[in-house]
Amino acid sequence: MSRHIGSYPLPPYLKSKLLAGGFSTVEDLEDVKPVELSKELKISPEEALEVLRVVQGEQKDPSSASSPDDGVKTALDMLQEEREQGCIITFCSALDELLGGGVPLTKITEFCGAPGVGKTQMGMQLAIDVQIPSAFGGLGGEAVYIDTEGSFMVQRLEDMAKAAMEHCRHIATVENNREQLEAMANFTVEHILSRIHFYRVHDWVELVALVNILPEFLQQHPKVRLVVIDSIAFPFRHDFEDLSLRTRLLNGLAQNCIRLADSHKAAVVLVNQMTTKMGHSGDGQAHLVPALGESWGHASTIRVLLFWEAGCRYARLYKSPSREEATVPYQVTVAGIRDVCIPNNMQDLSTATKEEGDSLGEHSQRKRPRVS
Amino acid sequence: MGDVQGLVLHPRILAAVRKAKLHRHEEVLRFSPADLERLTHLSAKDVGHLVREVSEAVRQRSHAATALQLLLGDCPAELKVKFLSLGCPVLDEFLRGGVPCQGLTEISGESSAGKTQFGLQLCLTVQLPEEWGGLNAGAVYICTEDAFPSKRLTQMAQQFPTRGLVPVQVTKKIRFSDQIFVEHTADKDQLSKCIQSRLPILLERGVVKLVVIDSIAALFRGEYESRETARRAKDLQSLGAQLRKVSQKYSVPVVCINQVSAVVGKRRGNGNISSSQKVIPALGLVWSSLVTTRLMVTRTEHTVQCADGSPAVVRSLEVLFSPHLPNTTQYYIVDAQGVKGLR
Amino acid sequence: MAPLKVGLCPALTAEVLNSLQHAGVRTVTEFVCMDLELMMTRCCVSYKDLVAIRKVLLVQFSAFPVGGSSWYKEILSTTAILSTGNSRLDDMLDGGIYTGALTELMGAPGSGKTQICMSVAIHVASRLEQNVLYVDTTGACSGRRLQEMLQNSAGDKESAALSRIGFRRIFDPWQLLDLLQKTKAAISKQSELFYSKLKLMIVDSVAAVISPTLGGLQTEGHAVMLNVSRQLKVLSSEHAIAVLMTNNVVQGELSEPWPGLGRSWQHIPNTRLLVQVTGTQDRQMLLLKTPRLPRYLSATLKLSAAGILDLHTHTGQEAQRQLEV
Repeated sequence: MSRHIGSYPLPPYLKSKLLAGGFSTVEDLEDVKPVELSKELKISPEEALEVLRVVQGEQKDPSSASSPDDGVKTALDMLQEEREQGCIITFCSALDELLGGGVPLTKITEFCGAPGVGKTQMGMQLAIDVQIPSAFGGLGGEAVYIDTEGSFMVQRLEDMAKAAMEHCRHIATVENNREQLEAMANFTVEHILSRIHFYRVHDWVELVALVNILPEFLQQHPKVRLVVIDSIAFPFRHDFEDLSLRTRLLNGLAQNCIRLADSHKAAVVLVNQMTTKMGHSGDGQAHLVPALGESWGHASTIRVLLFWEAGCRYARLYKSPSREEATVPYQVTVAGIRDVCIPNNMQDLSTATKEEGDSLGEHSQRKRPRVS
Repeated sequence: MGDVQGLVLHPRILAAVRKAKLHRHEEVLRFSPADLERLTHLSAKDVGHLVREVSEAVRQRSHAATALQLLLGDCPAELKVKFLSLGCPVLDEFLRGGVPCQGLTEISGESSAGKTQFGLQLCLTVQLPEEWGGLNAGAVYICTEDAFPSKRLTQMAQQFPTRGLVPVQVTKKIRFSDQIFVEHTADKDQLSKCIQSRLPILLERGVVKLVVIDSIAALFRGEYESRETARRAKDLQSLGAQLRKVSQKYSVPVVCINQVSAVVGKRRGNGNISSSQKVIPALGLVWSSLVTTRLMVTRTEHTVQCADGSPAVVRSLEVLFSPHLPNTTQYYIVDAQGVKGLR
Repeated sequence: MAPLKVGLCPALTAEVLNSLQHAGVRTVTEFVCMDLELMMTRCCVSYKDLVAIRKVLLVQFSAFPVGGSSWYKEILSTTAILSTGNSRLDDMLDGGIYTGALTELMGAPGSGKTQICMSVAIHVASRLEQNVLYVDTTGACSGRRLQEMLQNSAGDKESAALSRIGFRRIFDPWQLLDLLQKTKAAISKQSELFYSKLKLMIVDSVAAVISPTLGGLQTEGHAVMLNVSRQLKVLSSEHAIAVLMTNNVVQGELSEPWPGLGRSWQHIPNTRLLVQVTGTQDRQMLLLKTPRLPRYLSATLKLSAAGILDLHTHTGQEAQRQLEV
């Protein structure tokens, strides 16, 4: 059965002309020359050429799926690919455990949380962690950091980079591993900072434009394995009278991001804010939900909620196709995002947090954390 | 916003775009590629070129650098973050330089905790030359509740040179009180107007490089009924966005002084609670999401002796959140000269 | 709307075709609808020729009714019912997922649609030993998770099962149409072994790839959506394949969950299930549209490392009350 004209990405007016002229399937266009076509349908020769080009399948779209003629890619192949591609490990083992090894490549991971919980810190930490040399089990890649809020402070990044470098050096020295020690030559603070490509965008127009250009940038910099957008919420939260425009723009951005992640084998990390929603779970109370609306919930593959509870920071895996929902504690120190050494009585707290169900954003007092 | 006609594209594409009445870059990026095909009657390939050129042109507006370049200062001026000194070396060290010149900095606290003192002190330090931690320009002080404390300002201005922070030759040249512009606004519409029309005039000419709003809470409390939360949220959002735009466009610090609310019953988690656990900054989650750096001042129960022998209440300055500071506290006092950190 | 071509029937020569085209008659439909006497005066073709052409065209292009019993026999021989691996879910679906029909799962983000899809894919590939084509439009499916589900149920023959699942990542509705076309062509040609044993196609999720084209200025998104649905229906009925799709949920008029993608899409699937979260691992499935069973049947599922396991079923009335609450 031959393919209907309507299923090709041609402009609608060309399609209606084709159909009116009696060309409804691919076969009808076989052996038709561009000049003939343009005369019959009364369209320009370029348009006729375009039609024949599209229909006869010579599109050179680099992101198109491989045709079944190349052989079918199976789940087994996919598994093999996943094993080889790895993920971004952090220095916080609880977080790595939560995510099943680390932040995965080819997917969109979203971190949401109230102000001050450490979302920007997480983004910065990941921009450093993606660069961990492969000798240490990392990806040895580069990062793109897109700042929409103006909350990026390079001095903080320098502190975190220094700590990361020292951590790795310590491991290399203790294990006396030659490969690791050699890798340290390229893992200095200067090297780390030089591999983070920073962009400051001021509004949604610049963000959309930048994400349009990113595929080209990633082709020129094939070592980039992480794109952080901090935050995706800020440019879209104010002065948007037309909500349907906002939804479309966000949808478009999400599509571009996932396409980018998949074709360049990179991880896309989006930072989102929180907003209050009046209770519709029957209790009339306000809860905190991630900003940008419910339709945005479908955009990210993995969603992690960051929140405070009894003076400690927690990360909860809220949405994931491959891991179970779980909550782990973490802390933000001078060195960056690290594990928390939980004393015994606090371990009951993480189970209690789970039992409270969606008690998200319930944060009580916060002790003065010790800066270690 | 640039003009699409200025781009390097095939004349056929430019003509189609003109016919579709898309003149600016923003208008083109508003539509998905499929929508653009329909509007302009161009083929997918042409639309691809159009989107690419427009995106590239817009991208030139954003600033880019590697993190290393940022650290070394080898980057566009807009990306360099300067800090405004607080006028006290102890406090400057605590804040790793001072108040950042990008984003909104909020100082909240109970009444008579000393928030206004910070605002006034910053109005003085901003007038110092850049090598001494200032920005070499004046300040705009917007009062929304009480009258401007001009007497206190005069006292601080007179005493400022005696603090010994800056050589006398430098402070002699500065007429401190002359470069502080005071505005009184009673409601948020007036404030909005002030920010949109009067402020840019001063900022354009570089006459002022600091904006202090004392206080932001007064405009939003009591003016809205309890069921008007959505409208209040929207107004807060747009005001916050305006202030951030101003800060970003002119690279000036915007300091907002905020009140606090008592923490009642179950906390909903829409802000940060100070270590005293009793108060949170007012205006809720919407405002918190707009603030870049949040500081809280509290009176403690201790006193120390100041230089002239009189007792001064020890106060605490706490970082509730900040992009580059840990959540720590610094103690300070307020005396005749102004705000001074304690070691 | 097939165009008129030389050789469709003996009387349709190049001359005749030319004169017809001058008269503005280009397609079969136009020919058949036209008044023959009028046509005879417009173009210089004899009445006898026109009648002969029309007869041949009608025979070639008409649809013919089929008797009920032969239709029934045909269905019996071609339709298969694929078990989902969960007996309660199978009961709700009257045996399982039917080939020749479109089954839709709808639910809020995080409700478990992808888990169910992956679980069904694994069951069909490992237990039923049939091939599955998994079309992923959100990037959610992962080989590791599929492998995890396998280990807990089958154990051995893992790689055989995984190689029965064909995998495609698609982010564009045009690519989806392209894929559906190529799949159809590959099945008819029977050129590859994979396609000859293809029994299940999973699209997770249809909404993610189509909703960006809806809304805005273009009505074309709508056309794309209907095109996709038609292709899916043709694939499922002509090639005896079961289709399982996932969709989003939007707020209906009375705040009840409605399927995403608009009113037109509502008619497309033959069976529709709503997945709701009732606990950390517990889910409730509600039957909202079905050709065979009473509506509002519900079942509870538990999502675990092995995918979907069994729990108990409620009756229809209780479930309806639950929905209204």
